[in-house]
Amino acid sequence: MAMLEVEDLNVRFYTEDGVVKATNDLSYQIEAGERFGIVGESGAGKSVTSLSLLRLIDSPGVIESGEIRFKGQNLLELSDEEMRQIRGNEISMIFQDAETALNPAYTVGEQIAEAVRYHLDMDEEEARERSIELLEDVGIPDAAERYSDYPHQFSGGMQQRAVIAMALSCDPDLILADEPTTALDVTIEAQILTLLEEIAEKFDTAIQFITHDLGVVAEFCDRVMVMYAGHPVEIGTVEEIYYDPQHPYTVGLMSSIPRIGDDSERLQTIPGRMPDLIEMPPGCNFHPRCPYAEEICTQLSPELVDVETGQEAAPDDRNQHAAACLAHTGELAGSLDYEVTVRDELEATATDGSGTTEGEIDE
Amino acid sequence: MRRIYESEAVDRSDGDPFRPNSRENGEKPQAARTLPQRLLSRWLVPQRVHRRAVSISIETPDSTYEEGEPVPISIQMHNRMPFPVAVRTVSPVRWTWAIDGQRQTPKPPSGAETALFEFDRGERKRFSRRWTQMFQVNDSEWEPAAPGKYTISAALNVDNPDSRALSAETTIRIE
Repeated sequence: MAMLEVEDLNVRFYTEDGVVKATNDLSYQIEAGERFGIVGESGAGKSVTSLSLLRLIDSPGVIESGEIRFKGQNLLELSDEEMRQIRGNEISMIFQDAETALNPAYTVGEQIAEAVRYHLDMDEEEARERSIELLEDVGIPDAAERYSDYPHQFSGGMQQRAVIAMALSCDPDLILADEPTTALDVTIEAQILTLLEEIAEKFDTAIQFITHDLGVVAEFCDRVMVMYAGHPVEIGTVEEIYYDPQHPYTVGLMSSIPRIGDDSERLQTIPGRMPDLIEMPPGCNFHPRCPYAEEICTQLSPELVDVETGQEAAPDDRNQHAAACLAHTGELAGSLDYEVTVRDELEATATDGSGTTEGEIDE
Repeated sequence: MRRIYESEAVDRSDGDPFRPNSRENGEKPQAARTLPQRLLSRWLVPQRVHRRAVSISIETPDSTYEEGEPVPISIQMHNRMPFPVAVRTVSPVRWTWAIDGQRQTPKPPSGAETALFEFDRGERKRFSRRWTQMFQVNDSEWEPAAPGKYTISAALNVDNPDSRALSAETTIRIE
């Protein structure tokens, strides 16, 4: 049994304009100590997935069906009080927008200490010491003095680090990191990632890492799920996803990574944009943007299948490389005709100074 | 607290175009709309009046489309009353649309809560949809529509919208 099992999760937002299908039959699992990355464009349903795990989806959103099992317990069946015991204690979240995640009316230190007092049963003084220690860990200078500062007295990067300190405060078993380093500069980003890595190793903490930065995913994660329009389109290990992508969307994402020394004039992008989640295209949701789309793609919605066998993917098989494309079930007349060039680090350093994976679509 | 415009700090003159005009004192703001109109309308006006207040229409730019050509659909709803109304819908889905009776809006699970579809006074709401000339036959399959006549309809998600004049339809031909 995996530590976190998400099964057929469907989240809907009932708006005046229509029903937004934020996640559709989403299934995945995270083991203890695993670092699981979720990537995809804005609006792919990554943040909604994280918020649903903590049952923080607010009206007009509802978790319509599915199960979220954490250590075998279905979180969707717990009472509000039971859920409060889990939030911040066993599962914590690093929110995307630190400025809005912090309460402007309380000092930063108090906001961290509150969680410590509530969950770890510490007294005022102990909680204060623990909070200062955490602020030091995330690289806040003069932590003891900054403890009583208000969020507006912190810079954007410091606020983000304070939110990270809050998430780490109770040594959770699972951290949901929703773009935790987006607001930070690269040096702090590296420090935070190292810190998260250390914590993951020391306490066997699992991390669900949401980011747009594919480089960070490659460095940090063990397994990756690529999401598109609320659907998982590919799941596999970092090596499989980066060196052998099996979904045209993943290939598009990989080829849109800018590379130092690349002499092409324009950045390669995926043409078109994410579909309106109220009005999804019929068949495969990616077909309007896919260079390999055939007529069948407009009529048949592909399931997530094992790319080797074409059989339905099993969420509990951690070694499985699965993708949702008709090319893997034999329904596509053509094939995914792209080439992945992996540049050797030494050669890449010699030629252009970069050591990245390069995905190229030959149409 | 003394405000800047109450002070004599600004040099004013009506004649000099390079100086601010003198303030006309004594002008008080007009009465603000302080009544909670939405709430009062909900409390005082019966739900059947709320429903009768709303009209719905649906149209497409053309009446004939080539096979496979997407059909743009425009749906308009209008509150004819000079006060806000709120129509209670049978589920959180506020309105639905259908092609030849086949519902194109996802169905919420049974037992889902009702919702209020709110309109401000005299408000017009416009929604647009695009029919790709495909019919969903099951969870994962779609099939193209054959040439012929199709009825596109839209309705507020209330019980018996047809009898309450809360539905509208239009017909197109696919050639």
